[in-house]
Amino acid sequence: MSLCCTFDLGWLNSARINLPAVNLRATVLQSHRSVKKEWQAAWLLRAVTCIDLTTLGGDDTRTNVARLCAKAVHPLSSDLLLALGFEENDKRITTAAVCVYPSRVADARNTLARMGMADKIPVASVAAGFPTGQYLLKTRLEEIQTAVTNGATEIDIVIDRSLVLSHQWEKLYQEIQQMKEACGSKAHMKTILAVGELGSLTNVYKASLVAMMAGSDFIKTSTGKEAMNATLPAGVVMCRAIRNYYQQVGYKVGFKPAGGIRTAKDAINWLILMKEELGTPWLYPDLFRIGASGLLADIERQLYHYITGRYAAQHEFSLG
Amino acid sequence: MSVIECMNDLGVTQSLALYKSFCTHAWLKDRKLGPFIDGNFKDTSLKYEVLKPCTEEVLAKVGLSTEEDINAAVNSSLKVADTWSNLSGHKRACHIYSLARHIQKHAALLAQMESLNRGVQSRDPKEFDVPAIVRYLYHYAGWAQLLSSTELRDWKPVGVVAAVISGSSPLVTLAQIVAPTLAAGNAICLKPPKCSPLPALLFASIATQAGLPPGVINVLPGDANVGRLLVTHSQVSKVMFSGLTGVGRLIRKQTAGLGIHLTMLLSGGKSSMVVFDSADVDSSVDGAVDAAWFNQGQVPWSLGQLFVQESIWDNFVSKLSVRVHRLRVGEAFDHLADVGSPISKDIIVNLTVATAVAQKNGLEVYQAHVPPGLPSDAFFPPTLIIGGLANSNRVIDDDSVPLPLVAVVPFRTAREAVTLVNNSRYGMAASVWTENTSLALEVANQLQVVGTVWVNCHGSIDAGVPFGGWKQSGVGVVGGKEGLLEYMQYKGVRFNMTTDAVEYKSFGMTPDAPACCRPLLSEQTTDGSVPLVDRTYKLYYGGAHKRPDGNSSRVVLSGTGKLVATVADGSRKDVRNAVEAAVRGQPTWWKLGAHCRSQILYNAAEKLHSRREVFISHLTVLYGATDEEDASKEVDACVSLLFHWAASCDKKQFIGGDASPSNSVLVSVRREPLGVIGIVQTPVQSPPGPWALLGFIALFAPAVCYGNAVIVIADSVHPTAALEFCEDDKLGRKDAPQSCHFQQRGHFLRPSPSSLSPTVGKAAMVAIIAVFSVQYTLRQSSMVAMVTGVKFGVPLDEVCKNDIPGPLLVLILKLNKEAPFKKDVFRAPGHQGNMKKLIHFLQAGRLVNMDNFSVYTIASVLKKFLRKLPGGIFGRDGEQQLFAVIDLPSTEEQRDQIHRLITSLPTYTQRLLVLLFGTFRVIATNAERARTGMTSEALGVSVAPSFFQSCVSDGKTAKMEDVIRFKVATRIMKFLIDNFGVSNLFGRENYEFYARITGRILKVEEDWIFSFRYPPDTLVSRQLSLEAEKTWLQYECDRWGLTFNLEAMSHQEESQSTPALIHIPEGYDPDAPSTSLGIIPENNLLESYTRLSISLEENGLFKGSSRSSSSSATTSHHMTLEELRAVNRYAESTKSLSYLPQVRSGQASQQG
Repeated sequence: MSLCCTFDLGWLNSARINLPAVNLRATVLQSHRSVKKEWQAAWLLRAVTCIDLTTLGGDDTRTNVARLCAKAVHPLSSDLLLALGFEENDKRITTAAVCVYPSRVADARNTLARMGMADKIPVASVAAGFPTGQYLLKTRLEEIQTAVTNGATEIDIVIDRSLVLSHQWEKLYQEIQQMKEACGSKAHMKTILAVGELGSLTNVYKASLVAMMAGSDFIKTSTGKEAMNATLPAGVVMCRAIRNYYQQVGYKVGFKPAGGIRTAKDAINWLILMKEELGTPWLYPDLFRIGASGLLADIERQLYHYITGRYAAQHEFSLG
Repeated sequence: MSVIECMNDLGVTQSLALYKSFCTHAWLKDRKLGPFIDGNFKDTSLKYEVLKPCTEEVLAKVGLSTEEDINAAVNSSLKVADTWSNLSGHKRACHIYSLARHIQKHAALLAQMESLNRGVQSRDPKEFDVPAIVRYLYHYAGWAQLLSSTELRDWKPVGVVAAVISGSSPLVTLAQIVAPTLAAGNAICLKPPKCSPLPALLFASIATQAGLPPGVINVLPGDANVGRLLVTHSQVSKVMFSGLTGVGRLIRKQTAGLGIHLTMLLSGGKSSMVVFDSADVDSSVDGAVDAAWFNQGQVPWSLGQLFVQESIWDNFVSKLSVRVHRLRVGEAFDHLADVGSPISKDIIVNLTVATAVAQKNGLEVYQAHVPPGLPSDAFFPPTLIIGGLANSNRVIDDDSVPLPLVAVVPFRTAREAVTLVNNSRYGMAASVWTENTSLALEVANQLQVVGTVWVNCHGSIDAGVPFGGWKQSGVGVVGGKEGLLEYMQYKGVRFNMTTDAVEYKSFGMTPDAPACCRPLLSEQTTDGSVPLVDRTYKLYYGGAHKRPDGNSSRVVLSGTGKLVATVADGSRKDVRNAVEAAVRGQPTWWKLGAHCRSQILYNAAEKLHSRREVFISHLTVLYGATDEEDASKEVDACVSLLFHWAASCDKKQFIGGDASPSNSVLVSVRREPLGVIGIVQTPVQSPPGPWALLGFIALFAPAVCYGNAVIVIADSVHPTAALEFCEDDKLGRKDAPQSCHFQQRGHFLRPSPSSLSPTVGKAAMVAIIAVFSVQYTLRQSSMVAMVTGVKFGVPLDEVCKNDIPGPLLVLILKLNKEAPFKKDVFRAPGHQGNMKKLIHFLQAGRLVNMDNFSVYTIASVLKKFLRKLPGGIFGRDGEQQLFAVIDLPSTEEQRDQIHRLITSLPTYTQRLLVLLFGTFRVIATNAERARTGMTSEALGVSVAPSFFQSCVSDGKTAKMEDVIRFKVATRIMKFLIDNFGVSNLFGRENYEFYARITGRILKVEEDWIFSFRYPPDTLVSRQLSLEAEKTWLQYECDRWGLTFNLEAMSHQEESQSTPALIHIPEGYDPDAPSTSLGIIPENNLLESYTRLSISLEENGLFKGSSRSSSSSATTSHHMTLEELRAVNRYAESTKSLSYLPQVRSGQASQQG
């Protein structure tokens, strides 16, 4: 379980981010590091195990959540797995979690339980006024508690962006701390910063620090509902915050990019970012997640290509 | 390894994914390499082996250059230099452009050759060097294009350039030397380093493939002896050296006294980086690592000393160590390698020694590791010396190859950091890292012995920015205009003011564009009865071809009256859509950056050229010409013009020179685009040619090249030329809808065609983001159009071929606006230098910024112009008559006589006179109120000699009769001035002309009121559209012979002009007797002048077109349509429509 540390305004104020340099770093990361052949396949499989398979639509019902859970359990078709040297239905290759709205948590739990995977694949729920955070603190806390009661073991909360924009860091710290308390001891808390709405990378860095000080287990880039989603420069800044926090406090906080990650190349770029900025421990699902819904299909296509040497049509894979 | 093993071992170093350099080996295989002279590799018996760095592997055998080869190479360069330098700028630009394109085509080959031959990790040449080479070539292709049209026309190429490149220089050095050398018009003999000659040989070979004339680039592989023979060769006039300081010193000794100019880029010593506690620490760690090991640390700007402020020392050093630890050492073709193997084993030995010395001196040494499997004698781990400078104990001979070794040194204060950096024999570059802007700028200023200081980055070099070292780091620069001048010499050919050989006909279009001739009319043959596949021309905006909102079409006729095409007929809704698309697309287009925009414009030229035949036949049919000569000239001119603007793209964004007023202030001025510009292209019907395509390009390219989006209403007679251009234009397709070309034909049956262009104007106003570049853009575009020169000392009819030339008009107008409030105008002399300058500008037909000249200068120039007219403005007979008239007893009779005399003069003389005397009149009227002292008497004395040449017989000795004549002349002048506007001295038409041109309101006799005012709108683009629209509208009616009803157009202006009639503004002195003569000063002089000057430039722009067409078509005793329009407005304002029938007859005559 995570430790929260005391709120340190001095640390926050010493933060300095140079935008062009960060942008350059993000570009360089993409071009200087690439993985090929069997390494590419391995990295893609690693990416699959880090996916929080997500559906966050207004039209979600029990049935499509059930389909999502089935895909989470068997993210890759069995012939692909066999060809890659795994057993059919290898338990090692599942997504990291499924991620749904609070009212669908029970559906997801039930489906996974029926498949006997309830203890293997956690159910994550967005909460706390997702996606805007523009609700009263009281109801936001209640939302978290309800989701936990319904069986969610991971809670993706959103922060109130207005607190960041008006620099009320201490209040933000307190709110996140209360949410962490609401999650209780069992559920992990991922804090969504919604970087696209924070205005500057300096704000992203500071919000990351505050979220970690308040006890978040993960920090997450976006809800997927903002105009600007997870971008690599924002990722670079958040990773640096995680690294600095680890240096100072000695506690490893996880990272979850989400929103707009659709291609296998995107996924690998994020993994490379993790490895370069944070190191190998951040390549595993306990410290790294990818929030995505459509990504899996492209990864399957790439693996298919690795195995067969040609590309498959989209309709040849099972739906997520 | 299986996928599962890989997956479980993500943390372990991956297997070496070695990429074989197949294409380089294919290129090298069986190729006989040797001295590259006259476009061929010379096969010599004397060969040496070129090895892969730090190995014994032989890559190729290369022939060693002998003294004979060197002579042959220099002679071949000398021979070709003559023809090469005499090529037109545009053709040289085409050559260099072609070279850039070919380098792009062989980018992978060139990058791999560099990695193979120099051992540098493959991604650096791939990601940096080759793109930078291309960028340099593009940039200098632009300079070649601009050479003859910029202030560089006095600079000449030096001849043969000898370039020596040493092994420590990166690939990009090649382009840094070759590109400006070729652009300047020189030929080059290049000696690549002995151990790594392959990239240069490949480069030369690609250059030949690109079509560069043989001999322009010669490459002489060989050792130091070859270098010595080359730089001391008697025919070499310039030596460029890139390499070690010690060798540079040697070259300096060898060439001393030979009269050879030197440029040196020396890499002795290393650059510094200063990291303050206010820096973004993580980013500066990344920056430091990139700067130190980039390209094996073998670039002139590579990092050697890293100064870190004490307060962040621990944090920084620990982060840096972690980062260095992660660097991957690997083979050149390991695509993940951050650090490759050094070029020679000496470097590794030196590194080992330096590290040992540092350790002995008590400094901490941090070394990353070399992965197992790599030979330790060919690789050296990335190493940090922490705590102090590594080489502090070597002062005498420190010119050895710079090592990829970083000394990390703490400092306490900014002052100490500055001292540490400046304390060096070298001064190539340094960088300052802090988020505190004032600190950054202060420190950057203090580092005064360093060629380049970067803030928060290191090693960002660009072709447009000069880069060079101070102290023992070099002489001269590479890059930018300064880099070009290194290869040129000033040749002071001064222009003779009187015999200026400027081609007026072709001037101002583009330096190389030949004048297009008027196509001959001939019958066009038609094909058989089966219709061809239909060709539909739609509107083009938002990157797509769209049907018009009204779903109707217009017919386009060829010059022979045959149907050529039907084109979409646009309406205001389409304009609205186009403006919306343009507003959306413009920011993207602007943000692409100058280099990218220029590439796209170059590409447009390329596309145009590839469809040259299509355009030629299209234009020929469109104009109804018999042969294709004119059309082909026009298309070539268009290509050249596009090149011109592509070249200007990345060269005019900064205001030249240092605008900083003092050392403590840094002024950074940036030009921003206007935003969205509405352009109405009016048809040119008179000689020299319709120019439908050229006109379109001339209007749209300058606007687009600086980042504007444009909405073009294409030539209404020949719209298909522009539409064809958009057909295959990358501008619109790939890069967002930044250029929205919109074609529209007004039809008088439509509700209000005249409201269309104001729509464009209004929308454009909304879209303007910065008005800063308004004048700039406009000037540029009018540069393209024809500007009539003002010749001195020739008869007036030669000066005013069609009308009074625009520049002359502007001169008089400026006086008209400003002179009334200045003392002693026409009496006080102007500035001599400025006068010469202005006269030169006028003669050359250059566009003049009148703001740069005082009214006194202008008045003097005007006087000079009049004085130089052979026979005087009135002519000898006229002068005699005037002398007779002034003695007549009755004033009435005098007036009548003079009226008759003036109206018998040619129209342009009448107009010039009315403008001049009108101006004098205003000056005289204001003399008392503004206390300028220039009464009509004083004016008469000052200007009489300019008008009456007979009163100054030879200018040296004044005879008594001259003095008497002078007195009479003064009287005549006074009479004319006093009677201007009081009586019908100049005739109604002339007064109208005066009123229209100057915007002043005249009340001549009881019921004559002349006024003409442009709507007082300060936004130029609106003015532009309005003006153009007027001409266009006039033309439309002109063409179709329709009733010209100005109602729709003028009620908008009426509202502004009518109050002006009754409004008499407060003068300077309200107590002064207000004149009953009704000459009313302008309200806001400055503003109206700006407005007017622009609208006049605008007229100049369209001068070749509609105005001359209408005046040449209508006979001289008819009023021109424009004048009629003014009359119409007058008629309207007085609620009388009596002039309207005349309009019809005027048009009818033209129709016939």
